Amino acid sequence: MALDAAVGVSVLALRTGDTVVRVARRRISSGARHLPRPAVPGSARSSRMVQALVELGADRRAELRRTVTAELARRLDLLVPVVLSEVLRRVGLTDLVLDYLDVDRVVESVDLDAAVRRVDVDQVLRSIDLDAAIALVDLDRAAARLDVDAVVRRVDVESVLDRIDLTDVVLQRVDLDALVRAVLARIDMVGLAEQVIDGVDLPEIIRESTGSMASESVRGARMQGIAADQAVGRAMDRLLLRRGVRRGIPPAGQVPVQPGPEG
Amino acid sequence: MAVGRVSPVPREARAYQGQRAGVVTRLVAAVLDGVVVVLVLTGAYAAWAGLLFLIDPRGFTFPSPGPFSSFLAGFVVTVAYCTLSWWLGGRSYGCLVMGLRVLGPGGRPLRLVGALARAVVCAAFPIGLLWVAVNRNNRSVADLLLRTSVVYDWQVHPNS
Repeated sequence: MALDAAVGVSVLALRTGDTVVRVARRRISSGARHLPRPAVPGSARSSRMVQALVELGADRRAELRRTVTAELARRLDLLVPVVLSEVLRRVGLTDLVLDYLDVDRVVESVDLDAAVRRVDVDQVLRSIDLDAAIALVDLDRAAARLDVDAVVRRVDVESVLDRIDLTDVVLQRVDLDALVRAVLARIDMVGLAEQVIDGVDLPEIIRESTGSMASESVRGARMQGIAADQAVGRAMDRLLLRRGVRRGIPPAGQVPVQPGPEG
Repeated sequence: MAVGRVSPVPREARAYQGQRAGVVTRLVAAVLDGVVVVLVLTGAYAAWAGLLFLIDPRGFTFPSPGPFSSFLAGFVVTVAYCTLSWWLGGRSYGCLVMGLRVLGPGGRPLRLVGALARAVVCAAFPIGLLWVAVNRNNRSVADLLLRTSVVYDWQVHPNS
């Protein structure tokens, strides 16, 4: 307050001096001598005068502060970048940080989980041009370093298959007609039919269902004839002291051969 | 793709198909063929007698051919029957019943000359069939002379 009063007194003195000079100049020029008389007591007049001086000083001081602050800011805008640049260039900020800053301690003090929770990942992802990022990546080289076997071993194939309706996939995506044609082309249908018929002995079934007593008798006579042939042949071989099997009579269980012996 | 066929031969007999037949089966077949020949001769005799009866009923008597004529007739009928059956179908009636087939040299079907020659040998020397029991390869005298074979063949071929 005292400062404001002092400023106000100074301002008033300057203004009074200016006023006195201008009034004296008018009086002298007009020749009139009219001076104002005081309308209030002396103590009251002094109090109002001090108050007016305080207000005048406060206003002037605020104006000066604004002026000085603006001027100072303007000069600092010009001066600080230059000074700071020169200081940083001489100091070597990176080395200074590395020498004096314990980065590990700083990192330990940071709550990374909270920081991550505050990150809007969706927004980050939306802001990333993934196509451009992928275009920059050498995928062939990355894939060459990838251990696919290890990845596949970790895959729970059973779980994947459980989630897939394989029947529906096959019905929707497989050309069953072409598949069946390809399978049939690889199968020896005639050979397969022969194996089946041989397995069920179809001729025997046909003979049993349609054969007559005569055919059964002929079949029995033929088999008995073969058995008798073998018996006679073995007897003659023993009688003639011959060893080995007769050529033309195969041992039991031999693979059947087609007709056509040597002459 | 191989095209096969289903064998109608019973499973227990398939191992013997194509092998030379033994003496018992061939003897049975020969006996059956002999019966056929006898039946043919009997029929021929009856037809001859009937023809004589129709020609002269009053003076009809049953013809009594001599031994040589009978033997010759039997020989001719046997040769003719065997030749035609072996040449045309590869088997006579006895062979058909017993499931046998007569093959020529190399396993080929018999030609007419081969069938005729074999029929003559078999009719002239029927006991040569017994050589099958002695021969290690189940071959008779006729087979040895003419390089023929008689094999088991139960399957009925379209040309037989």
